[in-house]
Amino acid sequence: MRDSARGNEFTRRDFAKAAAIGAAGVGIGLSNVSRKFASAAEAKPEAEAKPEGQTKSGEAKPSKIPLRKFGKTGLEVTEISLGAMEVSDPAVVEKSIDDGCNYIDTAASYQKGRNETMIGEIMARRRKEVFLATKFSEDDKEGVFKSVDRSLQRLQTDHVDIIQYHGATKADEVKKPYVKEAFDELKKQGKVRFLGYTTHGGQIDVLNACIEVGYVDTVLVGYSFTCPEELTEAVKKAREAGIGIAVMKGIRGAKDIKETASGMTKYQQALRWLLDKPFVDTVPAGMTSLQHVDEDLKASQLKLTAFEKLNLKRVAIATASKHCSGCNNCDGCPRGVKPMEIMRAHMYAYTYGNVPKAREEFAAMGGPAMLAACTACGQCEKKCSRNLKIRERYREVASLMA
Amino acid sequence: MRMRALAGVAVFLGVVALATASGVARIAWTVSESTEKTLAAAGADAPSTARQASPNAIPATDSTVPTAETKLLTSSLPDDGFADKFKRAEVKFYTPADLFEYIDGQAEGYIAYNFQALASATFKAGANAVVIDVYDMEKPIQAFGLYSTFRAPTNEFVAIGGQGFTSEEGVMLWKGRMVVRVSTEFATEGEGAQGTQTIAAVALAAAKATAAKIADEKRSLEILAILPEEGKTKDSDKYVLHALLGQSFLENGVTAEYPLGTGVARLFVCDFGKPEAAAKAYGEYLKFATAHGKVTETQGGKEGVGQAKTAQGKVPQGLSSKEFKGEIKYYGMTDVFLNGRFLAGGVNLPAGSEQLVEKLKKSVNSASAK
Repeated sequence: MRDSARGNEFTRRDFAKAAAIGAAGVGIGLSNVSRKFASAAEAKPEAEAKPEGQTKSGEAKPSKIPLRKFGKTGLEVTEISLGAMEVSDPAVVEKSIDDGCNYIDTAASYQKGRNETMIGEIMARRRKEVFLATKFSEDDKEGVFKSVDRSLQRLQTDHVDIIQYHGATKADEVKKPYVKEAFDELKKQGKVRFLGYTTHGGQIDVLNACIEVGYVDTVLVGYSFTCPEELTEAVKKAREAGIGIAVMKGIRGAKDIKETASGMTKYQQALRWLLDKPFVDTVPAGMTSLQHVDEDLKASQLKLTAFEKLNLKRVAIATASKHCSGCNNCDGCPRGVKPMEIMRAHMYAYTYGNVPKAREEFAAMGGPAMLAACTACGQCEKKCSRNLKIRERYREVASLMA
Repeated sequence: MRMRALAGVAVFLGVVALATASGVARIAWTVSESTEKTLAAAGADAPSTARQASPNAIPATDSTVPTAETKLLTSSLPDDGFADKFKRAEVKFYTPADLFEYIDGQAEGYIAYNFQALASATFKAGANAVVIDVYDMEKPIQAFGLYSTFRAPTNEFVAIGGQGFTSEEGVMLWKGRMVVRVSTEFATEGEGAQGTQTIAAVALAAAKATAAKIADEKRSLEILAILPEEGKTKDSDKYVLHALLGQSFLENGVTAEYPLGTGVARLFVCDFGKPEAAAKAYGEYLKFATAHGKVTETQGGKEGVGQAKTAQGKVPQGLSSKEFKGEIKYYGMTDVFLNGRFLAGGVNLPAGSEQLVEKLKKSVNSASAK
């Protein structure tokens, strides 16, 4: 949770004197971003690249925040946008739009619809200035229809740009037919434009499934500088397939970053790391105060130094040290259990989100027989060089192997 | 979401069945008495972590609920039979590290209010299920704060615990340091199918039975009484732990709405615990206000230039040590004052709000004097 972590840090910075987002941002197009992924996007004939309020002649405003093509949707979204889940005051939404954000992400379930209601009170005046994305949690078509209708009412709009399945963690959730059926019907009615999935658990499986089915337009994925390379590859692959990538939980791990002489805050560094990824289209940042808006949007204008990049790598490695190091100190179980091998299965499942791989490893090592032999005596834990709760991890692995 | 949770329950039952058959019963997934005894006998910590059986979920590694916490939460759950034939089938626990697996991105909102742990209990009667979620929010004010983000003045309120409201999804309430959410999953046809009124009655019964088990702690709620009652939109009070009014320097505060003339004023009070901290926040607020609007600073209680005066031209002694007023972007007419450890005031103030602000000043002054 950002506020408790950084509220005091922020007061050290005089953001009243910080460079205005305005003129400095104009002209910073995609020049610093590889265009490799931009070229993969094909505008859909019916999509407007910018929100309506930004395309009419005489009303067009130069974007203060660099724009990126949102996969193959044809939409051009600001590389930093507003993740509204934690926003408690409409002033934050207003300022985000004023300072250039053209994408807002919310959900029907946030505060039982109160989040959408708050945004809707602003959308009544400013709908044309932003792309709107919301989510549903229902398990059947009729439920989705009702959820979307309620969302449209609360948001005070006749359509949302992205409708998202909320919180997928498994491949087969992506393949459920009712989602596509509901989406097709809603699109025909003009209530939604594009279909997305959100995921911050089992991301690799979900991303691969989204690629496989071929009809997913966007994914809001939990991803940060602490994530393993396998997840980076999966996100990249999805973007190469033309799926628009929005990133959440992008500042996970940022609290362990040290601020450096460049003056970039730890959160700006985490955001900048994401923005340096050409396969990331937008980061709906969880900005909960006007000061957060200033801080986060400034990341668009900053550059990580070589030292800061190394530092982020160091923090990522240190974060990974909460997992098994492979030292094998735990070996020597009187009952023949191989803790390190079970830890490897745990790593595949719980660090990399690759449960099929975890199951494969578990089966190959004779996992079930090992766990059956375990009497939870705790001898392995006493020898662990990282003081890991090995018996806890056995339980977690066992739960996945059904 | 609820269907997925019950699907998870079904998977769990499958795991336990499989585990028992294959002899892996010692490594249980959810808290069960037999497993606790086994591990206790083996000298291990009692298993205190259970989570939604979502095979591809990536839980964080620090997901152990301390035993004392599981005991507190378990004791807050109702006994069997709160409604006809409903019996506890299982309990799962979640921590800030893995709450997202149960409620997705909503988890951030709970963590923002210092969420400690959750006990999610499923009670069953045949094909029907009631899920009772008891969230430990550490302090009553934080429980109220979380609850207040969900409620709206237009809700159907029920007098359970501190307060509750019903919705299509069930019942939500707060009491003491706990927030309770009750949801139901009833068969839609065939055996067990019930009408919506019966389902609602079961949810209410579950909510009441749960509230009856929770201690009615009152500590930390004093700040709620500072906002004037007269003129306030009922049930518009909100407690915000961080970034009240969307300002990083405002924390631990309450706000409420007061319709006045053609507008709606919002009053707020923040308790910083110490006068120095409140003064610092006042300074930051003034800096923000100066950068984003046109304000005039006044100082109450002293002779001198720019001192605050009442409508009668008198200096209001002791009601504030510092104050500024003016029009600020996003907040309209604003009046902010400092009194000891409290920083308070009003935003979006319509014409004629002076008396309302004076009432607030007196109330804050009384609180400050305690």
